[in-house]
Amino acid sequence: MIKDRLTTSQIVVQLFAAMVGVGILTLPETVGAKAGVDSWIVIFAAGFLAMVAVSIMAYLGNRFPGKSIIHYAPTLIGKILGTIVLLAFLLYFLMFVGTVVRISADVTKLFLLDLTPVEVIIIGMLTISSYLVLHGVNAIARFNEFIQPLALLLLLLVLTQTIRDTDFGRILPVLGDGIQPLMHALPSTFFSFMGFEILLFIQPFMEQPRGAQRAALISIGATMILYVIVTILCIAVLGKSEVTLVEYPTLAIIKNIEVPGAFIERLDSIMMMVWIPFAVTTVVMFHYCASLIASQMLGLQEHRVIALYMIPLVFLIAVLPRNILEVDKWSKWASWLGVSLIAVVPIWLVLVYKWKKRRKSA
Amino acid sequence: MKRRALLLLSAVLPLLLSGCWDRVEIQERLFVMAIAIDKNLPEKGKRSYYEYSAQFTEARALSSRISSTNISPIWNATSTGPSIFECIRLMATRVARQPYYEHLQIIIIGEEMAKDGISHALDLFFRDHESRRNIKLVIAKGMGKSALAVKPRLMPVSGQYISKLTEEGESKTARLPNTVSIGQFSTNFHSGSNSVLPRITIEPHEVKMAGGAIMKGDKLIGWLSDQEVKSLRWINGTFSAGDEVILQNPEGGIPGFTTMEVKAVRSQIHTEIRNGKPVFTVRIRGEGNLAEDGLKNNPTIEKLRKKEIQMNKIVQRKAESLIQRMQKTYQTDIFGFGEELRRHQYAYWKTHEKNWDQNFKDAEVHVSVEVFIRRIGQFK
Amino acid sequence: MDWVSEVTSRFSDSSDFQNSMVHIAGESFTLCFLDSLVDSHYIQDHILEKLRQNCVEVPFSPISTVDEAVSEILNGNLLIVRDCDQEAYFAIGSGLEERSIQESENESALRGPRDSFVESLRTNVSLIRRRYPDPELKVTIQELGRRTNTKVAMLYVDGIVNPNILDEVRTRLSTVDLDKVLDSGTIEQWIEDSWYSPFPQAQYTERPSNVLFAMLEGRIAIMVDGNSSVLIVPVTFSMLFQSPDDYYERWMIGTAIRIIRVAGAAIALTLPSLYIALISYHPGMIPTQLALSISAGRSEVPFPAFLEALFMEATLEMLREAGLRLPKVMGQTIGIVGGLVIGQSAVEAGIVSPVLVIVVAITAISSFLVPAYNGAIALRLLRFPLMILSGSLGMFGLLLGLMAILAHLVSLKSFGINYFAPITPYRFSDWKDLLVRAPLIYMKNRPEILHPLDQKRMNTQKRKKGW
Repeated sequence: MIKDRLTTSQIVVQLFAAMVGVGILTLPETVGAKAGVDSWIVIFAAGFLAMVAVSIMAYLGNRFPGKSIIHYAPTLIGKILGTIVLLAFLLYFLMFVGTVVRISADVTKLFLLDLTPVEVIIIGMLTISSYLVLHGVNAIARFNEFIQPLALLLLLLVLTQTIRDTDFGRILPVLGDGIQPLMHALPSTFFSFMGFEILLFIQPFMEQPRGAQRAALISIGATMILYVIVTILCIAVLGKSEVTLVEYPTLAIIKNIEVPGAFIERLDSIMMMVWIPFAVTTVVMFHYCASLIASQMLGLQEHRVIALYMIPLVFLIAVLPRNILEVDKWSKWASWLGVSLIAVVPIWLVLVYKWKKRRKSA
Repeated sequence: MKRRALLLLSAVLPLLLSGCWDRVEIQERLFVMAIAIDKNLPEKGKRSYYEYSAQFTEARALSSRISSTNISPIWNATSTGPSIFECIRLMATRVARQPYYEHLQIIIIGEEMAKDGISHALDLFFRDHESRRNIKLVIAKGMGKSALAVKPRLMPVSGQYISKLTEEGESKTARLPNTVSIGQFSTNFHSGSNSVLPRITIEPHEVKMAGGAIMKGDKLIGWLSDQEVKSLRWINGTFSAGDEVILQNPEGGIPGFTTMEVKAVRSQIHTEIRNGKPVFTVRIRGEGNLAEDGLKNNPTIEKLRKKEIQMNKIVQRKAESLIQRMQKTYQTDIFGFGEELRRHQYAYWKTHEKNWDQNFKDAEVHVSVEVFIRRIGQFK
Repeated sequence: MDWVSEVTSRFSDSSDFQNSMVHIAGESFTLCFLDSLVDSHYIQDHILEKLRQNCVEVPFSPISTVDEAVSEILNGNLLIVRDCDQEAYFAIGSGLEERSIQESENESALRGPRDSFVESLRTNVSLIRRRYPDPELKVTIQELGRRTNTKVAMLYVDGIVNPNILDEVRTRLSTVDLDKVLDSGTIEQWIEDSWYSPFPQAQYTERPSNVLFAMLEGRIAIMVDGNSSVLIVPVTFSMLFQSPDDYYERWMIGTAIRIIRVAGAAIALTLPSLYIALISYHPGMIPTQLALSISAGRSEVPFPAFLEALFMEATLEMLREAGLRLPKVMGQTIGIVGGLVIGQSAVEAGIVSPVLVIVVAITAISSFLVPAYNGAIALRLLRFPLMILSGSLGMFGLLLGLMAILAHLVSLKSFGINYFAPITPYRFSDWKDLLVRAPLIYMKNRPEILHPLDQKRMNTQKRKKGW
């Protein structure tokens, strides 16, 4: 039969979908609070870090064709350590899904549905995501392939309308405060790039796994450029100090726009239409990877049942935080866990692999 | 698997059907077109501080679908309270429908309120999701409330009239400062800059919008006349259509004036630190055309050149006098010189940011104006 | 073996069964046939005539079993039994009157061939054969249906169609075990991939040119005897927006029409829900002036926008259905009168707002832009869940609904082909025939998603101009 494999362009879109999520609304604020007008430099730096990390992952994946980290981690570092690593990933993914769902539900509630219980919004998003997860990685990829370019196009279209309000002089001076604040901003900037680590899990589904690195680099590059555009526009419209005061700067600059004569006057509604799919696709990717880990660790044939069992868990993680500040705290924990996993595990595995190979050849 | 998905769906659907938490039909909403915030003079035993007026519009009456005489298209309701939110809630005790702020066009601040500072009054509008960042902001001479009560001749809703006036006025004349939205004001205020807001003066059937209110931070400290606003806009270089400059003809005669229309003015502010003091050089360049006679029906290159020089001098003098006034009388930088310093002289700015208004007083400012008359119209 | 009594007993209680004895040159023959299927003049003029010419060596094919004889009779042929030695033969009957080939009523075309299929499988196959006189056009006929034994033909072009797809279709067809196979719709539902999808997973057409076109792309046609609509599998979502006319016209026009169709489908799907979401949830998104006038127009409407829209949309669907069942002339009248009267008076009675009437009208017109009826009706049906969603969650609900539809579409398959291809997964070479109908000479290759054995459609290098 005609087989479904992930094409290289699908990987690009998948990683983009996993990376660009809820962060796009808040990124200028989180970066700007620490790095000020030099935010864009930090984003470039974080993007390059992400590129390095993803290259290591692709290198690892290429050494074990047809296998994901779920298989090669235990063979490389032993069953117990491997299980611990995978469990950490599982925890990270679940936490991430929960907080992303919660944040997106909160924002949706704030801007679109004031009185609707946040639980209903969460259930709505999880329903879509579960439906996709049940249909497997190929359906997810096709979904992303359709919705990401469309959403991106709409977003860029909306952003062009903000040009009228910009004063690019606001981005000056470059590096006025030196490198110090940039270093402080780096971790939280890096958080918004997180998501590319799913490559560790979906690389074996590829048609040509060799193309993974290139695809991932393109994807991170695109994300980086999008982030830089958004951040620069936010600072150019709002100025440094206002960016750090507004909760969702990206939405704020779009709320500035008024398109006279159009049927839909306010573009922030379009922004919401763009942003919700961004959030949902992030959720889908992480939900899928989490169920993949769990099912393969339990030796199940399919990931579907376990994916469904995860929904209550995710729902619980999503509704437990009491307010938005607490959600931020949870998401920070998840992100730090993720960062440590991304930073440590691939390098560790590569070192072990090299060491083992050398011993074998010796 | 399919059964499970179906189960999930059947769990969700009833939730949806019982839902509609946020459903409010459009005709049940009461569109608020304009609001005015005034200071409520404190009385004994009362903690009210704001006097909040909202202008509600009734769409049915606007489109004259009903003939009932006690329904009028607009209703200006006023309430008082210690916070704007409280005022809005108090209004709900009298208005039977749900006020809706997403179509709010303009916020009018009364003079007394503005003197006390307006950032706390606007806080709700920065915070609330229903308000747009592009709501316009004007300062009324006197009570803001009375601006809402104006009965304009050509438009049914006074809020819309005033809001249109700012837009139209901004592009047609330089007599009023650039329209400022609450978003822009917030940006200015939070970055520590000062702003100039449009000023309105109120008459029974019209509102005159000219001149500006000098806001030091968020506090009103004085007024700019319309001529001063013109100078301000020359310095900022932010008008594309509309200043006219009237020149006295040295030869006398009747009427003895030449009028130039100046368009497309751009200005450049160059900064420099000399002896630890900032020096600003403002270069204003513009284009214009001859609007009304004065050259005795025969413009020549020499005559035009003379007029240009005369005009440049006038503009320069006016600009310099405005800058001096701001330096000496108000010690308030409304020109964005501070922002220029931040951009180009960051080291100086970092040390003097805190007391910039004091330093501004002693800053040296040079203005040079170059306006070219390009066209003389379709008549010699 | 007594053929006549055997056969007669099988056809007991069938009044149209005839067995008549004829004497020719001293021999006696018994003719058994169904007079409902055989023309008696034909028997007189042809069959008896042939018998008369040579009645010793009967010029017909011999037959050996009763079952065969019965099935031949049922097919409209004659059983001829020579009484003396009980030898049985069958003669081909003429067949009965059938509808002549006419212009297609359901799929009208401005340009291109106008003939349409009829109810006879043989005629239908001949319509294709005549257009494609090459042995690589394969026609395999099998009988399906537990009781009806309907002939079902599978047509494909050998050398183009992908064998994997062909095998899949063949396997699925062979599993058909229904008591009746009366129309292609039944077969469609048996062999389709997913029965819980509103989207059509087979295309049907009445026009031979469409079938040929599809087969040359690498698709497979399924014909059912006694049925004038022919199934084409596999299909993709993009085919809902394609019509053969696109290829007959110049490419710019074809492209423009396609874009209009897609826009129409989008409007038909979302406009009522968008109306509900904007009116009931987010009036802030409408320009102020428009919001004011809509608000004024709705001031007397006592219902929420959802009920209002539901009422009007349901009325529209009722009108459409009524118009479909009524005689053609009356159907149109009913539609216009019903639409105008109900729309007008509903507004005057204050049940619906004038804006909604516009919305419903635009929706109705848009939904007829989709050329595939089964696709259009799917979109029309999905409009209602979307209305429920946006009626309960506003814009967010609408977005959820659209994402759910998309999620369903991308997970759907048709005979191993991704239903949403070539939109996703990207097959850029097929995008020339998606939203844009590229100029003819740019469509060099057959659709990649169907994995045809022979990729090339044309050789543009041979294209020459005199000057």
